[in-house]
Amino acid sequence: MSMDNSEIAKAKYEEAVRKLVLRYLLVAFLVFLVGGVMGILIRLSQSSPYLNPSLYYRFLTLHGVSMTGFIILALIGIGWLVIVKMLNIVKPIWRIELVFWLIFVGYGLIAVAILVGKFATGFPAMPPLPVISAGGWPRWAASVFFIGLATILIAAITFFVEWLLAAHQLVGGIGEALGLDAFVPNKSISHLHSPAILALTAMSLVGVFAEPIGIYLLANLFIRNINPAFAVDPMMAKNALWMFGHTLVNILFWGAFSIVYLLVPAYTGREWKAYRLLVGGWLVTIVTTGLTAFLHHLSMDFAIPFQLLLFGQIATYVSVIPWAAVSVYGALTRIWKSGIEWKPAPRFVYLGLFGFMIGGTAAFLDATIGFNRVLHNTLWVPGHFHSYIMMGSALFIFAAIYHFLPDLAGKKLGPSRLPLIHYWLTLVGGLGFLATFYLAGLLNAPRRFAEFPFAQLPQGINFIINTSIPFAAVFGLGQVFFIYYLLRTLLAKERK
Amino acid sequence: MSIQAYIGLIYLFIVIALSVVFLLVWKGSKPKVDFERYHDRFSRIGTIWLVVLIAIGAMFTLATLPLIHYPGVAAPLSEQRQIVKVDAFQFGWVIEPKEIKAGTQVEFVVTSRDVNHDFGVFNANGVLLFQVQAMPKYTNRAVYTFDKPGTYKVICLEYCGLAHHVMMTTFEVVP
Repeated sequence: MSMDNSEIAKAKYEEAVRKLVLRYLLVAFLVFLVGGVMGILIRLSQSSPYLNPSLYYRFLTLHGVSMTGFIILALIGIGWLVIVKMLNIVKPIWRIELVFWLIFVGYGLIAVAILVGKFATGFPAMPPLPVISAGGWPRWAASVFFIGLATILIAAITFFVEWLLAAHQLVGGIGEALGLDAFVPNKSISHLHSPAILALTAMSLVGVFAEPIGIYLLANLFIRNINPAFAVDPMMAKNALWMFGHTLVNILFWGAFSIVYLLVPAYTGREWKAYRLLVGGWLVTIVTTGLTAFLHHLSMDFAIPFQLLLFGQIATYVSVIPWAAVSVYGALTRIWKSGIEWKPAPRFVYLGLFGFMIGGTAAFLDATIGFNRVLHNTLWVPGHFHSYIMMGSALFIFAAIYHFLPDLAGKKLGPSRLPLIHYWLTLVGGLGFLATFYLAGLLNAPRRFAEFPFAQLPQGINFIINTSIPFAAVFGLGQVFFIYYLLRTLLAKERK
Repeated sequence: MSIQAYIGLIYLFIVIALSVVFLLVWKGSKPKVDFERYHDRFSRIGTIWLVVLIAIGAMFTLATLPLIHYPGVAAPLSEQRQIVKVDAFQFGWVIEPKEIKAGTQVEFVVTSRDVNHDFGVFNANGVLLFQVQAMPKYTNRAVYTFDKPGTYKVICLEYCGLAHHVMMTTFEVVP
C-alpha cells in the first residue's frame, strides 16, 4: 500500500525533527567536552599551579558556562522530541532551528568574550564585578558576554513558551497541565498521562517569569558598562542575579526530572500518573524552589532583614519535601519488587536519583543560615551543585539518550558492554569526585581560588585536591566511552 | 567541636542512610511482586516520612539559631561591644581598629569600595569561624566574640577579580 501525501509529509517532518534533535545533542556533547577539559585544567592548576590567574579564572568561567550550556542544549533537544514524538504536536522546523541557533550564537559570543576578551567573572557572574574588573578584562568583553547570555536566555524563554503552547494544546490550559483539576471535586486528571507534563509545565511557567529578570539585569549592566554614570543598585543586582540564576539551574533540573517520570514507568511497568499529592507537591515546588528559595544565596548578606533570610531558609527546607517525600519516594517505591531489568537507561536514572539526594542533603545543610556561616563560598557549594547537575540532571539526560537512542539513530545499537563501562566509571569517578569537594569544603577550602593558601588553611586540603584528579579522570573516561558508543551507533552502516 | 565537624557528621550519617536505602531498593527490585500488595503500606510509610522531614526541618531551624552571627539573633547586642570597621577593596582590607579585645562582643561593620567581597575570618589553625559579605553601597554587620587571643586571618570569600586569591590580611585579638 503506498503512502498518501499527508503520510509522506509527516514522515519527512519527523525525519527533519530527528536530525535536528541529533544536532542539538551532538553540539551539546561538544560543549560538554569543552567544559570537561576546562574543569580538568583548572583542577590540575589548583593542585600544582601552572595557569596564570587570568587563564585560571577564564577557564573557570568557560567551564561553568559550558556545563550549563550542555544541560540547556540537551534538555531542550529532548524536549522537542517529547513534544513532537510523544505528544504528537507539530512545531514548525524554523522555530526548532531558531532556538538552536540562538543558543549556539549566545555560547559563541560568551566564548569569544572569555577566550579573546579575557572575561573572567566566574559563572554566574556577580555584579558589579563584570563592569569593575580592576584591569582584568576590557569593557567590550563584558558587553559581548552580556549579549551572549541574554541571547541564550531568549532561546530558553522561547522554548518555555513553546512548551506552554504545546501543553495548552494537549490538555486545554496551563492550569490543567499543572493538574489543578485534582483539587476540583469530581474532576478527573487522568488525561494528564504523566507527571512529566507537570514538571515541564512548572519549568516553563516559572521560566517565563524568572528569566526575563535576567535579561533586565543584563540590560542594566550593559548600559552601566557603556556609561559609568548609570547606577545599578548592587542589592537589586544581587537579588536579580539569584532570582534568575538559581531559578534557571533549578528549573532545568525539573525539566530533566521529567525524564525520571517517563522512564521509571517504562522500565518498571508500573504507571505513574499525576494525583493530588503530587500536584500539590509541584505547586509547593513552584512557590518555594521557583520563587522564594533563591534567598538562600543571600544568607551572608546581613544588610537584608533577618526575617527575609530566615524565610529563605524555611522556603528551602519546605522545598525539600515534595522531592524527598513524593517524587524520589515515588520512584523508589515503584522500583521496589518491580522485576526491573537494569538496562543502561534505568541505571542512570537510579544513579541520578542518588546524586540528587546527596546533593539535596548538602543543599539543605548549606541553606541553614547557622551552617552557611562556615559553608558559604567554600568548596561545599560546588560539591552540592555538582551533585545535582553532574550526578543528577546530566545522568537523567544520559538515561534519556540511552532510552531514545534506537529511535533517534534508526540504527542497530553498539556493543552493550560499553554502556555498562560508562555506568561504572561514572559511578566511581563521579561519587569519588563529589566526596573530595565536600571534604575540602569542610576543611574550609574556598571556592573560586586560582591558588589555595595552603599555609593558611588546615592540613589535608592539598591531599584531597590531588585525590580529586584521578576521580575526575575516571569520570571523564566514562564519558569518552559514552560518546564513542553514541558515535559508533550513529555511524553504523546497518539500519535497525 | 567546630560547626564544620557537626555538619560533617550529620552529612556522613545521612549519606550512609541514603546509600543503605538505595542499595536495599536495588537489591529488592527483584523478583516482581504485584504493586497492589504493598501499595497501602508504602502510602503509610510515605506519610510518616513526610512528618519526619517536617520534624527534622523544625529541629534544625531551632538548633541552629544560636549559631547565627546576625546582630541580635543569637544574643542581644551588648552596650559594651567593640565596633570594628572593615572596608574591602580590590584587593585588600582596611580594618579599624586592628586590635580586638578577647571576650568582648565585637560588631563588625563591613562594606566595600568597589565589588562584592566576603569577610572570612579564620583562626590560626585555618578553621573558618564566620563570614559576612562586603557589599558596595551597603553595610553588613556581624557579631562575634573571640574567646582566644592570637592572630586571626582574613581571607576574601567572594570572587572579586584576578587577585581574589591573594586578598588576605590578619588582625590581632588581645587579652
